[in-house]
Amino acid sequence: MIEISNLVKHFEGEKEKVVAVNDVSIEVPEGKLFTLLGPSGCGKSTTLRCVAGLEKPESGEIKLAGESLFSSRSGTFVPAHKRDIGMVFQSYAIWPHMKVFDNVAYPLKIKRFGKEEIRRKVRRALETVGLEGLEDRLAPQLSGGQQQRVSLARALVKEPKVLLLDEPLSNLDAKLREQMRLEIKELQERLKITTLYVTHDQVEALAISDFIAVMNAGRLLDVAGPQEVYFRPRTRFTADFIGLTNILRGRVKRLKDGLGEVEAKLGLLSSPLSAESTTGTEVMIFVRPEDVVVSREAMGGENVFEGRIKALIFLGEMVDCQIESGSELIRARLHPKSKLGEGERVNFRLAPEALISIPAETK
Amino acid sequence: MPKWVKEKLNPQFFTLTICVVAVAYLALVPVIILLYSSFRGAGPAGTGFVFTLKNYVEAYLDPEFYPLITNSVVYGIGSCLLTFFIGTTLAWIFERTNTPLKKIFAVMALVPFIIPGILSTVSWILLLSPKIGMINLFLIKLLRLEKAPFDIYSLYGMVWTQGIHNYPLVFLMMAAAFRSMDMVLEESATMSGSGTVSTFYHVTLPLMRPAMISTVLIVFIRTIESFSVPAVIGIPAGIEVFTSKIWVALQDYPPNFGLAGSLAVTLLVISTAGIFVYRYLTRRGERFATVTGKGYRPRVIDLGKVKYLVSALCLLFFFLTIFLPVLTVLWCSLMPYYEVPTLSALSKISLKNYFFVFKFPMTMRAFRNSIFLMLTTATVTMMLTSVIAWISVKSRLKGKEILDVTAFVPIAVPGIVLGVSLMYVYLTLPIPIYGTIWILLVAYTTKYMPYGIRTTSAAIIQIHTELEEASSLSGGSWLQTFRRITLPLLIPGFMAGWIYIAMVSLRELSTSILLYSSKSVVLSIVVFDLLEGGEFPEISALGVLMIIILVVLALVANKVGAKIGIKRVN
Repeated sequence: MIEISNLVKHFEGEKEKVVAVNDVSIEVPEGKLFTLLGPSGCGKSTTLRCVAGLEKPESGEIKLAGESLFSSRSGTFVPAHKRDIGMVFQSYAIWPHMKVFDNVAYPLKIKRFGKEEIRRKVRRALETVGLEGLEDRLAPQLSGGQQQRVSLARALVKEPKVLLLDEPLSNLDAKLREQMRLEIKELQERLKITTLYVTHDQVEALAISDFIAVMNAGRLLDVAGPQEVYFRPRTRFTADFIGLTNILRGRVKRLKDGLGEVEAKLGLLSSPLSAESTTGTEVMIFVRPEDVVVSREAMGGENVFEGRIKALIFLGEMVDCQIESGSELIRARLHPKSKLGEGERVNFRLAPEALISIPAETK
Repeated sequence: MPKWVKEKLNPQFFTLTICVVAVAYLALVPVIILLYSSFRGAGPAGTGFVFTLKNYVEAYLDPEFYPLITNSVVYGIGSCLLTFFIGTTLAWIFERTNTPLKKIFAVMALVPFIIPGILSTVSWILLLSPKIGMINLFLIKLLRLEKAPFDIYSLYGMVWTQGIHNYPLVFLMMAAAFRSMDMVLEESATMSGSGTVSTFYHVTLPLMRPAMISTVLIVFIRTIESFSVPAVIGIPAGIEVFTSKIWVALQDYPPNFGLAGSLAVTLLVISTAGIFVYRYLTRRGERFATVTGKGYRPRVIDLGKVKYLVSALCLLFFFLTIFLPVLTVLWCSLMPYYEVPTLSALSKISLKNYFFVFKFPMTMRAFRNSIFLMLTTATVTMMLTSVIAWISVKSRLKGKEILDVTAFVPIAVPGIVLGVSLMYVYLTLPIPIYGTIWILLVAYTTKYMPYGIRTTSAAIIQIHTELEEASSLSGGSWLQTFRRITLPLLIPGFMAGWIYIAMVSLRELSTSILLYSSKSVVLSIVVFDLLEGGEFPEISALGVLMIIILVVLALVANKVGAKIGIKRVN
């Protein structure tokens, strides 16, 4: 539905140009919720604003349903107000001088719909977001969550082809954020509206997305479904940014039964290898803390090592466990009622099927 | 048509271009022509340019130049210190103590702002003149004195009259400074073991210093460029400062353009330097302000029983400096000739002076002109500056900083200097508005442009860009967005600025004095003219009418201000 190819956007910095978006290509499938995820300043919001037409990119192409919105080659630039797009802003941007009804009716008034039709459509939009009956309120009289919903209703009322959401939940408190997260997801699935969503919150991204694109420093690093991004990160940045990951460095010693034998500081590790890796390749191995099995008892199988528990931090739903093994520090998750104590010697196993390896990034 | 021309042909580009050209013309041309003329051999009406320093040499070597400097410095510093002391004390009482009635005092502290400078000067003459001053006559009778204890016609009289009228500005600036001080900063000093005095010296004072210095500076500049006190009190007393000397030089026959021009440039240089330092300091002040954080809760000091004494002293102060002058003017306006209120004088009360005002053709014309100028100046200035402010706050136009700075240039131009400059401009350029009311409109718009910019940009900064972007994504074009979103949100701030400019336009004197003609006469000029004949009752009647208009405007402004307050809650 949305096709972004080779998008580049610069900003004038204090001294030199800052490349905010660097050669980003994305395809958002119809009816799906697609998330741009990354730390602040990674270019995700700029990408979104380029799609909205609020920024004019330097080069590349943006298409919506096959129609070109921007193309540096042909010189096309459709201004924001002529794009068939609805957008929810981080600050909600509810106009304080208008009532809820007028806020939502605005896009329809611009399009010169009839009075009766406007009333009908606004009512339906407000019902969709669960705000029926609040038409005559002024914006300052609404709570944060309600403002959020008005903003959603306003973005949806003109039935756009695409919905853009720019960090829509970052101004809400934690409880409300979780609730709105669910509601947005549920709404998106019901309306089957193609949605581009921007957030810096990895949990939020995992919870609501059909696809996640991880961005850093203006570049696109990874695009995949939530589980794949989590379990099979393709870059060190992704592995590190989403959830907690143990990163082990080593060199492939030899290949054996489709697995690689990697010489790491812990010792010899059996790990699946990516296609580029072969004997002698420097690799990074990722293992999630919840995949580290810890026990007092001796364990069979491959990749079993010994270590000493350096610290245990009780977090309620789990215990964060730091195991010292040689010069490596391994993070593991324990059950909150685990009987292990600090300073205790333990065995731990890194199951080969839970490991991901990629060639080490050369710096 | 080439493509780039087509792209530029839209309402946005047109509006912006017109405003940019207008600002550059209004702000820069007068200053350039003034400089040009001051270095020019022939008079402004002559032709050809011969570079000369003759005007400056003559002005600076004149034996009268040095008393001019010392008078200006004593007048400037003296009145500045008096103003600073009064304004800061009142601000401190209001912001940091539990003095009873302090909210009423805060309103009272702004009242001098409503009274036109020339009327305040007149009222102090009516109180402190050695011959007719009410306070003098009263004290002579009471204490059986040989001669009047006070003489307003002195440098100290000038310092007093100017200082006692200028303090609302200090009050506002210092109250803001006291308010933005986060008490956590003081508390953390206390928790670090420092005592009250040490906290004040090491924390409070350094944090207040930028605000204090910049306040003193701005008041000093306002004082040396003031006109009504030097003209009305200084000239009869034989004490000349820059502004009155410029005026006197132009009253000669033939007018001494050379002297007026070189003095005007000198005054311009002084006030520009002051403004530069001020801008530099307030930039630092803002940095300090951001350090203090948002959640301010100023610490209120419990004065104990002393608070009643402080309250009583405030009441006495406001009685002497506001009620007494205003009542004196009111009393004078009802008398056939000015005299001390007695029972026998009471029988002479009449509205004759008010009838005179309405019968006299010149005052009627002045009323019409003043009201016309008040409405047009406020409207034109606000419309122009709202576009400028929009560009400088919202757009990514290259060179917008230059536009902002240009629009601020007039703040450094003293009123009388602007008058001299515009005189030169319209005697030089072939635009026939000299002697008409339009030159006054140009003058006022130039003069109040910086105030307009300040209020409109404050209003625009409050409008989050996303509010406009949301309109674009709802399908609204630039014009639709401006009309339906930006403008309605701007209107409260716009109204407040409009009323402010209307108020200051109504009492403008220092620029008008050099630009008016018998056709384009305004109210403050009529007051000034009547003063030469010493016709105090008529002046007072006119003054009372002016104050009534200004009070009405101030009340409306207050109402609008309160409404903005509600909107800002969100």
